[in-house]
Amino acid sequence: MAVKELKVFDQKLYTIVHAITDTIIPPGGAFDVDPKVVDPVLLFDNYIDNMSRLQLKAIKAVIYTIEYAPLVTRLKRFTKMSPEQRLKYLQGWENSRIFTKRNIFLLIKMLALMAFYSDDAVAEAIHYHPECLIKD
Amino acid sequence: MLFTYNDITKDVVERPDVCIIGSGAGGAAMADVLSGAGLDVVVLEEGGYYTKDRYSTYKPAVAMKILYRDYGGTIAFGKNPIMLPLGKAVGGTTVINSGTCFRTPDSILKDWAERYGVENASSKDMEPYFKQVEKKINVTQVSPQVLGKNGLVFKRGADALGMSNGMLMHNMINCHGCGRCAFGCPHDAKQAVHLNFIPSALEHGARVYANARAENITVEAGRVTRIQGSIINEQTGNKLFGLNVFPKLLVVSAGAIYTPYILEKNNINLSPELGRNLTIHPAVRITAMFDEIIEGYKGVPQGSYVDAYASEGIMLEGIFVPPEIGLPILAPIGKKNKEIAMAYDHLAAFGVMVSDKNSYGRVKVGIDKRPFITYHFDPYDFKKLVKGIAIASEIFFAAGAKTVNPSIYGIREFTSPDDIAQLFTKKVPLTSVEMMAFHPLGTARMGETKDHSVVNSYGKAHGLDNLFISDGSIFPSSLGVNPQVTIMSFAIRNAQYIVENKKALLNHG
Repeated sequence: MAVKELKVFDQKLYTIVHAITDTIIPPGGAFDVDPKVVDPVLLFDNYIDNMSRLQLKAIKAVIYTIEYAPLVTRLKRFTKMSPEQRLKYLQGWENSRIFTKRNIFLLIKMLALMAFYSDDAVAEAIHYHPECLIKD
Repeated sequence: MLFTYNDITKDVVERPDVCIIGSGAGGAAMADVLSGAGLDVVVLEEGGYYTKDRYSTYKPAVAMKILYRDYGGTIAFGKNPIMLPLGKAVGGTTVINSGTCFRTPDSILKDWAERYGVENASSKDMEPYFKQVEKKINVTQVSPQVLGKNGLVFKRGADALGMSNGMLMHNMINCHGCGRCAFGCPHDAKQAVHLNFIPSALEHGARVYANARAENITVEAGRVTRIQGSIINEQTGNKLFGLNVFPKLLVVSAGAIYTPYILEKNNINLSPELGRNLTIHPAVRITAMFDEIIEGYKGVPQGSYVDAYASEGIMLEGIFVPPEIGLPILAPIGKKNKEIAMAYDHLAAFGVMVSDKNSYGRVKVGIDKRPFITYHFDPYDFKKLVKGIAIASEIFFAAGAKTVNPSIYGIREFTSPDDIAQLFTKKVPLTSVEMMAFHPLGTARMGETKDHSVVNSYGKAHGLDNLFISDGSIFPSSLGVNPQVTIMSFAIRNAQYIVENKKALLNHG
């Protein structure tokens, strides 16, 4: 990853967001994309670059909360967890009974996935070929 | 002339007859009629000016970043925060709406006259304005050739159940069925107002400033005298030049969120009702998985409707979004996300929209000096939404769906029609439904008394001689249908009122 290509995240945030995106869209499974071609963190970073300072602060605050909150309950930062632990932990956010917690996570998930699925290589991988019903 | 930030090299000073803030459905129609009557008109639009050549290069997620306010994430806060997408471009929300056209229902116009004292706006009075709008924006029925399978499948289900349904009317010419109405039509087939009312106003000599943000409104001796603002760099958001407009008359057409916001921010408290009575048409998207290939992203996303329950305030209208917009909400994290992505071609989706009968919201200036929107979703209206989810689910099963996802937290996807009963036997909390809303209305409502309304029956502000409002904020209640034709029709009607009374309205003293 070239840090210089990042517009919003620094190296530390890159590492945390990488762990988050790797959990949301894990390698392997129903389709795969070459991580050298598609970097979900870079896509996420570049997608949110036009947001207001306040919005970016809020996003960064959520990312840091995801990273440090497990220190209290699991005595481990998010990035230090195993992939299985990370998935279970983020599923806890996604399916939380606490509505606000669920929605805060949805914000990060949405932005990360909107950027990811917008990439041409990903669209190709999922066989998404948008076209008009009537051709010119 | 249309100016963007690229064309401007120094501070702008204008002294027009009329300044219009906002170039959406209400502002554009107003600009056309007023300039056509010989008035000197200046339009200020905070968003940029985009053409089909630019739209066609935008992927949907990028379009949301560029053509929507707040990346499409404007939120009405309440027990369950609701996303409220708003357009920000020359043409306003008409650039990114679904293009669906309805006349104002007769019952609504009657209600406005009886309950709110709105004068001269019966169906008969409005008929010529509806016709004028429909001709201008080319309202026509969606054809089966461009409807797409998403609409056809739902129609098949509704037909099987004997529910009233049909193809929607859209403002379109030569639609190619590209599924991109909400992200800027790449063929200019959708007749958003930047393709008709705005060019017509420009021909009449109006000057439209894109990237022009109105900020301060000065009122002196009961009249608006000046609008100050900035020309904004579209890329960076930075202020480039100052903007000073000294109009004889001001029309605020910034939509039901930004109109009360800009007035309140400038302490122009026209009535205690300003910013109140917000209605938004809460909606939810129901998805279904089929064995057959649907490819819902091909065709007009909102091409068909089911109006069997319209009298109860429940409308079902097509809705489909491409994977980059649909998957983030629809699919859970982990491997399942990728599995659903691979099955996206088999997915169908339809929207349930309810009219806000007892629900209401408010727009205020927030502590961060941005609009702060709150919304109370009344249990009665929420029940209608849940009923709508049940109806849509039933229709999908009748159409042959394998599973239906009701978009409710805590309720698993339905695998048979029997599962739908859960919606009525289990408690469905308001916070468990993933909602959106699309039609903010009502925050500066019409009427004849200052205590109960903000503007009179022609959009003229109570208490200020030369201020009009022309957008969805003037409607006293929820329409129950998509509002663009109503907004444009009232804009034309009210513009004609201004023209007929221009001597009194434009000349001070």
